[in-house]
Amino acid sequence: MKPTRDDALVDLLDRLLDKGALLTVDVIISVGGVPLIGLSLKAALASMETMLDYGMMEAWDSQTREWYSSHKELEKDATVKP
Amino acid sequence: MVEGGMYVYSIVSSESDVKMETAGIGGACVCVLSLEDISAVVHQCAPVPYTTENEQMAGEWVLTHHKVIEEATRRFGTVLPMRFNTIIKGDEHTVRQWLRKNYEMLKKELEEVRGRAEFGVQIFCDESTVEQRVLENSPEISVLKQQMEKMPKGAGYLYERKLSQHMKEHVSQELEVLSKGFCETIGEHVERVKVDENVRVPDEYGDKRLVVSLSCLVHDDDIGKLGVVLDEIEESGGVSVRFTGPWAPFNFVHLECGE
Repeated sequence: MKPTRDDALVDLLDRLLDKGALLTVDVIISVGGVPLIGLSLKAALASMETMLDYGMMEAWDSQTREWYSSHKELEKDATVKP
Repeated sequence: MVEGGMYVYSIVSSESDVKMETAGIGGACVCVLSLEDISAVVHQCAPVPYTTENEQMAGEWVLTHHKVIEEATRRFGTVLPMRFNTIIKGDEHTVRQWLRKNYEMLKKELEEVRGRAEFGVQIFCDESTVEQRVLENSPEISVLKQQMEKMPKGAGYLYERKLSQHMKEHVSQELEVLSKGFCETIGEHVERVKVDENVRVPDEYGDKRLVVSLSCLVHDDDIGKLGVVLDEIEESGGVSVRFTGPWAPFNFVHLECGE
C-alpha cells in the first residue's frame, strides 16, 4: 500500500499541536499547545468541512502531493545548491 | 526599544539568508536566517503567543505553520519542525546566537533525519474478530460458556456477567499481544518507531478497535518496502491498516537547546 495524506487532518493536527520540537530555552516565550488554540481546533475537527470550505485543505493537499512526488529530486537539488 | 519576538517554523540545512516565497502566519514575511550551514525559518512577531477564539483563524494559522514547513522541506530537504506557536524572545541576532550555541546538536539532528520522513501507521481490528480469537484460544472462557448453558436463568445471568468480564480482560490481553507483534515486525523495516499515545482516529474507524498507532521514521528508499510489509499485515487477516504521510519528522526531533 502507499501512504496517503487524504483524510489525514487529524494526524496532521496531532503533530503540529502536540509534537514537533520543544525548545528548553529561556528565550522561548511560547511553546506550542496554547490551550485556547488547541481546544478550538480540536472542536473544529468535528466539522472538517469548515476548513474544506475555507479552501485551506485543498491547497494543502495538492501541494503536498506535489512535494511527495518530487521529494527525492528536490532533496538532491538542495544538497547541491543549498 | 520594545523587544520583539521571532516565530520559529523549523530548522533547515541552508547556508544563506533567503526569503521564503510563501507567506507566514497572518501574512507575515518568512525568512531564513543562517549560521554556517544551518538556518532557522522564522518571521518577526510580537513577543506574545498567538491566541484566538476564532476557530477559522486558528485553523488557518496552524495550517499556515504546516505550509511553511512543507515549503522549507521542498527547498532544503527534511527539516526539524517546531511545534506550532514556538516564539523566541528577541530579534535576528538572538536567533543566530541561539543557532551558534546549539550548532552541534542541531547539525546532528538534521543529519539524522536527512533523506527521511515520518509516516503514521495505525492498525485497527473488529472487536468481534478478537473475541473470536479469544474463544478459540482460551479454554477457560469456553468452559464458562458451557457451564452457563446448563444453568437455570438467574444463575446464568451472573455467569454471563462473569463471562463478559473475562472476555474484556482477554480481549485487551490479545490486543496487547497483537500490538507488540506488529510493533516488532514494522520496527524491523523502519529506522525508528514510536508508539503514539492518546491518538485520535478518523470517524470512519470509530467502530473498530485501535490495536496500535505508530510513528515511523523511514528512509526515502524504504517507503515501498514498508508498504509491502503493511499489505502483508493486512492480508494476514482481521485487521485494517492506515498508512499516512509523509510528514516532517515531528515525532523524531529531540532538541534540548540551551539559551
